[in-house]
Amino acid sequence: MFLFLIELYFLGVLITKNFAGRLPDFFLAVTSILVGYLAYVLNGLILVSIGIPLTQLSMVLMVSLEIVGLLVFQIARKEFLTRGRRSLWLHYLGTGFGYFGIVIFFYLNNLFFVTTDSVYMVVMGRNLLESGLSQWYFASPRGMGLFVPLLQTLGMLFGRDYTWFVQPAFMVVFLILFAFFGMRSGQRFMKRKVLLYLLVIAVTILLFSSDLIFIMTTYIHTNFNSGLFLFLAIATLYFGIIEENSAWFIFTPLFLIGFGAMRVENVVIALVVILIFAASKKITQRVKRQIFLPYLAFQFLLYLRILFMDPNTYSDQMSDGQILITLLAILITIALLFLVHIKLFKQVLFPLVWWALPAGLFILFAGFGIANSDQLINNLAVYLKTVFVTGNWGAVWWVVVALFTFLPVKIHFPLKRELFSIILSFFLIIQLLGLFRVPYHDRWFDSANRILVHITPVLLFYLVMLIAKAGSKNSKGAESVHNTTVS
Amino acid sequence: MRFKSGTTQYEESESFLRNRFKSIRIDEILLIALTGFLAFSIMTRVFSFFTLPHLIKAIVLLYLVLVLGLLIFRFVRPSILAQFQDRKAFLTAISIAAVLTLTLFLLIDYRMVPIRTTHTLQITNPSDSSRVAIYEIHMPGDELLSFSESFPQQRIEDDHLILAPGETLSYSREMVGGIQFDAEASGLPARIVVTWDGVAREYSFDGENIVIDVKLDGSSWGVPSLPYRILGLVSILSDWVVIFGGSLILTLLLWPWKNRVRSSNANAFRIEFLDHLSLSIILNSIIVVLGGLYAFFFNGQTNILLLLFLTGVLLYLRDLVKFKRQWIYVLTIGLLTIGIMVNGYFWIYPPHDLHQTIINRPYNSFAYLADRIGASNATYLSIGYYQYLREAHLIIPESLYEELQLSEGRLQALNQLRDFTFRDYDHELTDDQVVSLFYEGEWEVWPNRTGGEYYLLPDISRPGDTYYFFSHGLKYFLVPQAYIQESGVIDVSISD
Repeated sequence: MFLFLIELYFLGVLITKNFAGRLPDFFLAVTSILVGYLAYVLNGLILVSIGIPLTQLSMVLMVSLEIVGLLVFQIARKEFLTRGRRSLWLHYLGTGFGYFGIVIFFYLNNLFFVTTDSVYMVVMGRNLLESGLSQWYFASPRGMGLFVPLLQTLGMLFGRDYTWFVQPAFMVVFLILFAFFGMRSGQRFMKRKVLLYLLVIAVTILLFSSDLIFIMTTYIHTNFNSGLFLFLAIATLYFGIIEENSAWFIFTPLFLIGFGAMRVENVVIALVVILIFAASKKITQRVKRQIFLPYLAFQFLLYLRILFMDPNTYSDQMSDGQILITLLAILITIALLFLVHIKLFKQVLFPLVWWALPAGLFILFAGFGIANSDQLINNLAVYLKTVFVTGNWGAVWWVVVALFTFLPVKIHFPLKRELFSIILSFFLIIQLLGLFRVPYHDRWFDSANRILVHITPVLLFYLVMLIAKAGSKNSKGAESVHNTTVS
Repeated sequence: MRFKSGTTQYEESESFLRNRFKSIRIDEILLIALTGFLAFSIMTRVFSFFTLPHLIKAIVLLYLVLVLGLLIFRFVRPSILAQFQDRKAFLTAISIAAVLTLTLFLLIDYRMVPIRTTHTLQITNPSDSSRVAIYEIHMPGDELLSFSESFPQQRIEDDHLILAPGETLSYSREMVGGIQFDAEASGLPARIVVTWDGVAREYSFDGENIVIDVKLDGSSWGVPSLPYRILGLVSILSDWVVIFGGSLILTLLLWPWKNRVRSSNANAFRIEFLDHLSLSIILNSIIVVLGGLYAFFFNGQTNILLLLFLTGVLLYLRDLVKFKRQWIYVLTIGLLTIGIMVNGYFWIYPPHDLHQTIINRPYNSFAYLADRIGASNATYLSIGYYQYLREAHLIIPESLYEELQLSEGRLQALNQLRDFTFRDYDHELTDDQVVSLFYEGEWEVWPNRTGGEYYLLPDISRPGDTYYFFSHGLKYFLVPQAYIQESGVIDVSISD
């Protein structure tokens, strides 16, 4: 099993290595871990979708073939062991040792957090091995994403009952990449690096010292990984635009796929992100399509496949109608990517999206909320209570609100509008969805409380930039990025 | 904004802060001390210092010091210093304040605030014939004392504690505040002697007062631990320093000679930096008053108080960062550090036990994982045999259903059962029957969460079968109907 994990990491290395020199070595090395797991999940999905059973042989063979293919490709292009890449290989080596140290530590020390959902996901993993996509018990892709169940099969293929040692690797990747991106964004404004390091480290510790996030680091579940992938998708979009480096964008669809495969409702947030960035003038139309179409195609095919399933399990959430609406929304988003050059969209509608989208969501929320006022009031009250008191967030939201209260409002930094729009839309969507389901409750495991984990990293990233810019000497200055377009 | 000297607001504030700590004067030290005592007095008298958790104590006290300190330095200090120029008047004011304080000391019935201390209560019934019944004993915070736990040897009738003639009961506990109870005598004449922290007092029952109400003084000193002894003394000292300091300030501010001090004189002692915080200082003072009213009238919930005070602090910060943008970094990191400390506090005193459940688990089995979630027996059974129970028909005697603590609804929902039937049959298998069953092949064993194990034989079981439940001691068997009909091992009359 560990040899297979090494193989997966090596696959990640071979994929990320293609961008050597165009992206920081550190990012490429750490991301290889995630790319390896993503490759495993995608391979698994492809196999079960075309009816090939998930077995040790089929998975090892598929990953090995991909490695050989990439090696041949890179050797043919004389890119595999080129000179001047010593630093990159050292990064890969260091990351690899660190990564396997963590995996082995958690393999030997079975530290995990588990709830009923975790067991259902393990059962889903078993179902994938037993019958592909045809037979489901307790939970199915109509209620839960396939990412974690597929990740669970990793241990099962090698005789383990479940996979308890992988989730901490995601936690460490998140810690490292959150700090990396936080510092990278902040250093544009903060000259004193010590303060920047302190700021980013303090934000990271604040987040991870809260009980909820701490348990998420070993929790066999989807929320933490959703937060990780959403943050990385947005961070790569952000840096692709502000650094005018399209290499970042290569990773955006990968992270969006990870996010979309994690939970059934994640597609809604992914579409919001896509719409807001698609409406932005900062990326050319061609690049927009290159970034977003792979994810949209993946999500469309996945939901199309789910539409033809009839799992009939206890926790199914999505009806045929809801899946059809989702498919339609994906198709409309795809269509929009091809309509961006039309004057009506380009000059009239798209410039409004950053505020019109949350405004529209708010109108919907208010409209449905008035019609269902009891639920609206209950959900809002419960939401505030979980966020500030019972949700096990500790002081996180108190500090976030405090920072937003005392920081100056009129601070501009690159893509502030887009990020703000995504964050605001996210909160509105949670409340909007809450009107069409069983009312939220004030326990920590309430889904509205856990879903907050998805947006918190993005919100903190936004705050880091806001703080960094607010304290800088030209805190009110406009950014040059407003006038550039990445192609 | 540009000042008279031609410097900017930023330069002014910078130079102020640079020089501030180099030139702290005696008057400032005295005012800081007064602020501290005043904050502590308000904290003990209004915000229940001795009953709050330590962290909240520290937060509220720091906030009060901040608010009162800024209030005094911004609005009181300039006038006082201006008065101080007139040494004679100042000495007169001190004398007046001292006399006023002394007079108050002699005249008023000063009671210290109840501190956290160990109080001792003794109730004796010296009567020869009358019994005394003690009704509910109300502890501080209106908590009712449990008679059975606190006085296990004592006789209790109708929830009343009975004190027989000549009997004495003693109770001692650390608390903040006094005790209150009602006592009723069974006949007259009767009396009780209540000794509270060593001071005895006699209460007599008479024709009009067969029931007496006893309230014991919470401000009695008791036997406090060393830290609370010190805090108690500081509390008394604070009260008197505040009375003296308050008298002095009021005398200085209200005395007719104040008119002789020109406002320009007072302005000379103003700290420009604090002028920019004037609005937030006033707003925070209002917040303290509101917090005090809330604490006094509504026995204020700590969360609301903290929220109020946090808002107040943010008002300062908002004004403060207007001065100097770079302070944003320090303030933000400070705020984040406080957040981390609060999270750390929750690690030490967790309100929930989530992170405490993450400990090294000895087993990596699926059964152990499923057991960890603490699900019901029905859920646990469903997880164990999910493939077989899906759309199955389960038949079980009601007695066995009770023994296994199953839930029909849960089994139905999780497994989408075809049917669930209670049927009365002899579910206890004999040794021979069990031997025969085990002979059939390798049984799949799944633990029952509340003891024993389930047995299911994959060789003879199909998903969606009709299963009968049998038992043999703590072994529970799920046997398909077809097997029962064909094998002849188990004799159950099946009539579908």
